[in-house]
Amino acid sequence: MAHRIRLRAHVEPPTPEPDDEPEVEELAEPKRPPSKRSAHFRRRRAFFIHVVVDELDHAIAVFFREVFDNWTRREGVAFPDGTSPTADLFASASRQRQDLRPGFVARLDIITFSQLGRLLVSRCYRFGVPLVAWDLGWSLSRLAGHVGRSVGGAFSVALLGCGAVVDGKWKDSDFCPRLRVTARGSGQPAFVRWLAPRDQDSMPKGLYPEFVDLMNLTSSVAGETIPDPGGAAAVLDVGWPTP
Amino acid sequence: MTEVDLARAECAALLPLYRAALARLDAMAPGMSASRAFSTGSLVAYNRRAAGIPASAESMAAVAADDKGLAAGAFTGPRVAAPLPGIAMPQSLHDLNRAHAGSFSALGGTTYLVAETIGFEDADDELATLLDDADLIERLLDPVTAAHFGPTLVCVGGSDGAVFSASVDWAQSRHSGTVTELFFPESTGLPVYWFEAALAKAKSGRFTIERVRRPVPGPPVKGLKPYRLLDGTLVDLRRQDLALALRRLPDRMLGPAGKLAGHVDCYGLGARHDLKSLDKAINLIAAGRHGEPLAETTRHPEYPAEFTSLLLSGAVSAFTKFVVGLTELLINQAGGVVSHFATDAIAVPASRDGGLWACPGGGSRMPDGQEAVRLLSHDQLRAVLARLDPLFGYDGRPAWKEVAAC
Repeated sequence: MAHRIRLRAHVEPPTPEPDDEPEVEELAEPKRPPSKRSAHFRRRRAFFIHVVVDELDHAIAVFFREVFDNWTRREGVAFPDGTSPTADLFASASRQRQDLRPGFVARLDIITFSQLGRLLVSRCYRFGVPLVAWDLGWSLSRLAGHVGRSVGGAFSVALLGCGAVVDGKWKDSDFCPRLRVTARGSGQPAFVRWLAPRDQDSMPKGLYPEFVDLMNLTSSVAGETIPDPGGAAAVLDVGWPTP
Repeated sequence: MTEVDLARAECAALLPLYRAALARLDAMAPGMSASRAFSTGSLVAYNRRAAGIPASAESMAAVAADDKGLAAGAFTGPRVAAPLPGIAMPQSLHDLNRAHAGSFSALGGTTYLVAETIGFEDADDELATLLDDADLIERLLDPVTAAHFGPTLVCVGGSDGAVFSASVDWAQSRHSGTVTELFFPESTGLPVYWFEAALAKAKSGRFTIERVRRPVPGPPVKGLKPYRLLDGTLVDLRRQDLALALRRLPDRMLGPAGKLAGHVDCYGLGARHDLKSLDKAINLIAAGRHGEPLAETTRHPEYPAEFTSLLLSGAVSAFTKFVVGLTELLINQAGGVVSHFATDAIAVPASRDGGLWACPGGGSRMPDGQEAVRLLSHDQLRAVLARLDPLFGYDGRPAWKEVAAC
């Protein structure tokens, strides 16, 4: 009876001598446009929020601007749900933006906090635009619709507009993510990231949304703790408006 | 200007502020992600996953401070007992990096010199020196070493500061040490093949095992396919040594394989743990840095990855700690002190011309009787570090890289 023996062998591929290698003129690869997911591209975009609070630390308005390079794609102001925008807001919103080409009149969008929450999800989560704010944790907390229990130094936050109160209980939207904030100890900036929404199709593919806290960033580059944006502007030698 | 207009203008002014901060960030750590710099709180944090970031001095300092030191819990805090009067003393290398990256004002004008032994890129070289240099162990038995450590050098190494603990008696042999106890915690999910592979590696002549605590055998590992090397060789990771197979590669393939070999042998792949999320919490008992059991209940236990080889990766961190310890001894002998240290990095109070520095808890005295530490001059400190070049310098490079003088 013949036995079938199965052999597995490895043969070393012949190594071409360096001199024998044919000289092939390498064609220059066509230059590809930068990926919209690249860090370089994402740095050109930013979504700024700036919160205005009253004496009780309640947010009364949130200004926002989405920029690409130095060009403002969208600018607006949000006011609390269930209230009416003040006359000052209307007056300010009707003034022409300074960064537009002459003759181009654009008003500020006036939206509610809930609309702003969904806008943040749309721009910063789904499209990966870096979310930039001074004291980001505090700014986002002004827009919180629901805050989960703190477990192990971390808790989650649902932005306004990213859920609804049903039968007295908050219910997250299936399509909007929550924010997860992980504390790192006193005086340390917290980690902030998005949690995946229930609907898998609403998740961005291959994007890593960024959060930039200007207070920590400017403090880091300046090598000292800077408590207010005006001080940071002075350190970095940029202008800051004064009343 | 109304309050609303002012707030609107402030919102608009955030853009130039952001751009200016990014420009400053780029000047210090090219290509650094702004969110990474923010999230770590350290300007010079080093993101290895972000391709194209050069290993600058700042980024390498951050490796020591963030990735290996603080994150792994290896940082043990400043050695200066009390905060300095009138000076915002950096509480960690983390703060120190942040300070030196900027105006250094947090240091109150006091000068420091931060140095590190090796980086990730050099780790494989360092390990090769440790394991393959026939004369190394003999040279380690330098009188200075013996006076400080005695014949036995206790190395506590491991990944993430846990799991692996061993003490090595370097004096036993020129080429090998004695692992007095090889301890693998039972409930960290270590697969048996991994343990047996590590044990076989340890018994292969490099180390002598005196006592072993075996894990309880678990279910067989499925899906572990042979690993194909660049020359087509298949390595059965359950029985064969991947690092050894890599070393047997033809010379012409060593270059491309060098990076992989470095990862296999040292940090990275060799110390990789994968997080697994479970439906319910389980109880874990891991080993602490000194072998003490650490109980934890978690839903996210870590499991060793396919190529985990903690014995070797632990040897690297143990070795760097040895280098740090020896360097501290030499600095102390020269009259200086080490105020901060991470796994493989130190920060030494120093100044251009040396002198005394008022510091509670210091071993010296100021002329007015105040406690103080003695600062080495930069040249003195560099001379001390250069003494270690013959011992630990690899391929003509110095043993210590000076990453910042601030």
